[in-house]
Amino acid sequence: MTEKLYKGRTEDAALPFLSATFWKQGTKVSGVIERLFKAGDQQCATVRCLTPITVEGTETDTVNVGAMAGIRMALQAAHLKGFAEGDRIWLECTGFEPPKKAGNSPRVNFKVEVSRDDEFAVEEVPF
Amino acid sequence: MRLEPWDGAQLAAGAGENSRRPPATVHQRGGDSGRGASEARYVHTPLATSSFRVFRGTTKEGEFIERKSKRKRLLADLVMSLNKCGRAGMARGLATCGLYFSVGRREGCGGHVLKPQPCNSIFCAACSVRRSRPLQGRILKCCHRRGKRYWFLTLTVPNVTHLTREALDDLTGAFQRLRDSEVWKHVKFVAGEWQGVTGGVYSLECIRSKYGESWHPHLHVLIELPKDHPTEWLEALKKTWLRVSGGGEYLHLMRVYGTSKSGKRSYRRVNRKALKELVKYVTKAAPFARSPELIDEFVSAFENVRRVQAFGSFYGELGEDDREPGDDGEEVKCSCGMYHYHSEFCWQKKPVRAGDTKLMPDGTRQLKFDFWSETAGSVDESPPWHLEREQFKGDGQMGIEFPGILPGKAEPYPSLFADVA
Repeated sequence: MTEKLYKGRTEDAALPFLSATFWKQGTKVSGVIERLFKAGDQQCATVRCLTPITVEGTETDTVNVGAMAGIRMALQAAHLKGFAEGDRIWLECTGFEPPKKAGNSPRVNFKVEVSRDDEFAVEEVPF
Repeated sequence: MRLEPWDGAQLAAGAGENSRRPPATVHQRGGDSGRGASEARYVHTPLATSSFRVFRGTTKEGEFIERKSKRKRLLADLVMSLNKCGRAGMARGLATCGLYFSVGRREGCGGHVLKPQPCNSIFCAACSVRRSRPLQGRILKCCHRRGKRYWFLTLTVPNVTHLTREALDDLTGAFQRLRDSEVWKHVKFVAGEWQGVTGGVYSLECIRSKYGESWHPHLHVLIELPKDHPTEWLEALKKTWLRVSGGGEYLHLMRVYGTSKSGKRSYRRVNRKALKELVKYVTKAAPFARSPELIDEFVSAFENVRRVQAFGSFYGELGEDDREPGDDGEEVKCSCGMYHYHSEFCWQKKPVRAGDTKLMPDGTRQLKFDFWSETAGSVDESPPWHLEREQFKGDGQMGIEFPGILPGKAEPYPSLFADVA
């Protein structure tokens, strides 16, 4: 009988989120989707960046990306429902869209590129 | 997985738009084989190697796709509901809006002109935009009078459970009473005389409330006020509206502003964007599009109701909103390249499909294959359309002669049906 061992740390899961405040016009993030998870109703993805980025004053190479409306729309334009584990992604902030209704936050616009390996493609999770 | 400094510029690397990476089948160097033999080579094929697909998209493109699909879904719901409530004609018009064109022919040059056949439905987004655009331009021309300021006034009444023509008439009637009131005419006292609201435009709208399952008819009004009107006037206006409307507690007054390209508000200049909310003709039908009963109720209430109306100094400035290009006596561009009057064309009864037309670089639309000019227009005599019966002139089977091959003259075959006859 073989035994499997699983290990995990809270710190590994508690990664900084790339919120709307992080994004500025021209900001680029590229990396590989490590895992997909749900935070409440929101679908999120953990991205291992190719180059470390600074989020809220701390440098990190792994970040979480939430299901922002801008990313969802860009994925829709790329004929994708969402990200899949192993996807190599490239995100670039192209600007901000002012809200149509008072009280809403401005929408971050993105340019998304996803490079997916056909052979090892796992099921994509709607973002 | 080995990470590489990869900056997303896959296009520069030769990848196509959302395309598979092209297979690379090349000869590879296998190394020296020894003992003087030539270099070993093998064909490297993409078999058993992983292939990447690149997907690319932007938020702006996604927004466009999402909006388009929402419109399509809404249109499908509306057409289904209209069919269910017995308004098949309206449903057909809405479903085929922009798909057919009427053809106008001109005797002199033999050219033609195509005129779109809009549905003019209260639910059609394309027709709303087409109808509201000239109206916005006409209102904009009136919005630059000296010493005047332009404000948006929203007038509401309590929600109604059933939408009827009477409910809409009550609302417009209440607004008429407001215009006749003292408060409307006495806004500011200047140089011994009262200055009031001099004119404006109102548009009648009705939306379906999500929460109360009721209708919310309201008016959007553009009013022309004297410069620097007193703030207490708004309170007086609210009281009067509450009295004349019979319970309309909510009234909102906002200065008209234009928006610059960077998104900044400018109160000095009124632009077309500012008037879009006022004259948009759009029915927000999404909340009730799936209910045939509510659709029927809405259409019945708004039948023959003027939704945009000018008053005071704006009266007569709007003209008629249902005019098409050329209806005002303007010239339209013919397929011959010249401009002719609309009345010079003879209009065919049968429309043509949009698929049979093409959009020209100058923005006009022409037939892909103009049958009339290609055939009937260019031939002097009409081709023989009717087939005429011709008598067969044959008396028996014909013999075929092969001189020089057979010794004698060939004998004709006896007829196969000779015995039958």
